[in-house]
This record gives sequence, C-alpha cells and structure tokens, in this order.
Amino acid sequence: MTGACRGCSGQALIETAITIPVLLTLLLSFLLAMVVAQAYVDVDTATSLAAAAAVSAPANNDALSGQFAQKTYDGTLRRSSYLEPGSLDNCGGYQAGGTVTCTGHATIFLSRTPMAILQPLDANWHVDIQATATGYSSPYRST
Amino acid sequence: MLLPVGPHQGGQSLVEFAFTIGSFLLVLFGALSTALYAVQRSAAVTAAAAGVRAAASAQSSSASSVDLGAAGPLVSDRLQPVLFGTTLDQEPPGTPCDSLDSIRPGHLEVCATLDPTDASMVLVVVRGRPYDLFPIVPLPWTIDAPAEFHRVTFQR
Repeated sequence: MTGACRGCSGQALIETAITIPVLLTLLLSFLLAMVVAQAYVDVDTATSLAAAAAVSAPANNDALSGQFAQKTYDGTLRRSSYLEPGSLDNCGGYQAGGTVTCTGHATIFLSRTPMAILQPLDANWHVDIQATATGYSSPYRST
Repeated sequence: MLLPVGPHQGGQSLVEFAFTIGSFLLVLFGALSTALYAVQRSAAVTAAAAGVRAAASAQSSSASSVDLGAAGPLVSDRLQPVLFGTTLDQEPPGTPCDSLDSIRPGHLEVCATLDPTDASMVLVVVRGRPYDLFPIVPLPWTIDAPAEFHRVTFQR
C-alpha cells in the first residue's frame, strides 16, 4: 500500500496546534522569569541606595535622613513602566556610628508587559516584591 | 501491522523535522538572548548605582560641587566585561542621554546630570540598545537604567 494515509494531515495539524502554544508559553515563561528577576535587582539596588542616602544626611536628623532616602528610592525606580515603587520602611534617622536598615516595597505590574497573555483573565496581574538593605554611618558624622 | 513507507512520507518527515528543529532553535536562542540581556541589564543597574554614588560626592577641588565626571569611567569599568560587542558612549558630564529612539542599535550611553526636576539629586542613566548576538531571534532589547542619589556636598 502506498500514498498518504487517511487522517495523517489532520494528525500533523493537531501536533502543530499543541506544539506551537507550548513553545510560545515556554518562551514567554523565560521572559517572565527574567522580568521578575530584573525587578528584584532594581528594587534591591534602589533600597541599597536609599539606605546609603539615609546615612549621608546629618546624624540625629530623622526628617532629613528619611527625605534623602525616599527621594533616592523614588528617583531610582520611577522611570519604569511596569514597576511602581511602594513604601520605604524604617529608613529614618540614625546616630553617628549607627546603622539604618531600610525595607523597600514595589509592585511589578505584569499586566503591562507582553507576558500578560499568559494571564488573559487578570487585567491587574501583579507581584509585590520587597528588598532590605543596611547603611553604615561614619562615627564621625556631624549632626 | 507495519505499513511500507509511501513516496510522500519521507518528505513529510523532513518538513516536520525542519519545523521542529526550527522551533527548538528559536526557543533555544531566544532563551540565550534573554539570559545575556538579563546579565547586561543587571550589570547596567548596579553600574549606574555605583556611578551615581561617585557622581554625588564632592569634588576634590571643590567641596560644594558634585563630581559628575566621576560616573562615566566607573560605569565603563563595571560594564566592560559584559558588553558582548556593544559600544559604550560616555556623554560629557551634565549632558542628558538621548532618547531611546535616537540611540543606534549596538550602543549604550552613560550620562550623569543633576535631576532636572530637583537639583539636589544627582542622576546617572545607562541607556541604549545592546548589540544583538542572536539576530535570528529579533527581540527588541533596550536598557534604561537610572540611579539617583542625594548630593553629598559640604559648605563652610
């Protein structure tokens, strides 16, 4: 018996219909993991800078120290289209020679990225992330 | 029951194999491209952070002025090992980066300025379009990594 078997073309179509979405999902998953990892890098870097900025203000000045940190944190994160900075906790005053440990929060809005097609039913698909960093002040820092 | 292979079935296998290997290579190179981009972007973010801390510090010759020129060489040193064929252009201190649309593919710019909306803040940006090592997967990678820091200057 020779020639194409009955139903073979249909079988190839089904195989393709299964394979292509699986491959696309795999590729988008790589991109998704990369986006989330990059957001962690961004938030970690912004929090480290904020902690360093907090201890660059004069010692024993809670308000100025917190303001330096907040402006640094917001300024570093504000330009992203899908990563929004949240609160910056415990990033306030310090005594000369002391430390400041900040916790930065942010939200990744995956619904604003091409990976949104992985969650078509969630128009507000997001992930909350946080990072902690410590700034060490000089014992000779003036007030 | 085993059937003999028909005259068209060898060709069909070849076409199926071509599609499969094509898709596989697309995903493989896409993943490699993604991994390289992630490395480059992470390095750009940390390099910008290191650069902004240097730029926000006072100059050795003037305790009341920020040292915007310190950022470029520092960022360049940090990024050099992961450029993968990308050209790094250092803008003169105080000159803002071009918009992403006007930066040529394969080029990154480093610029250090005062924040235009708040002169008490120093802004260092690494921005551009890294060189595409896998042009068969034309993913539109761009880098726009800003870092801001409050100026650390002194007045008598």
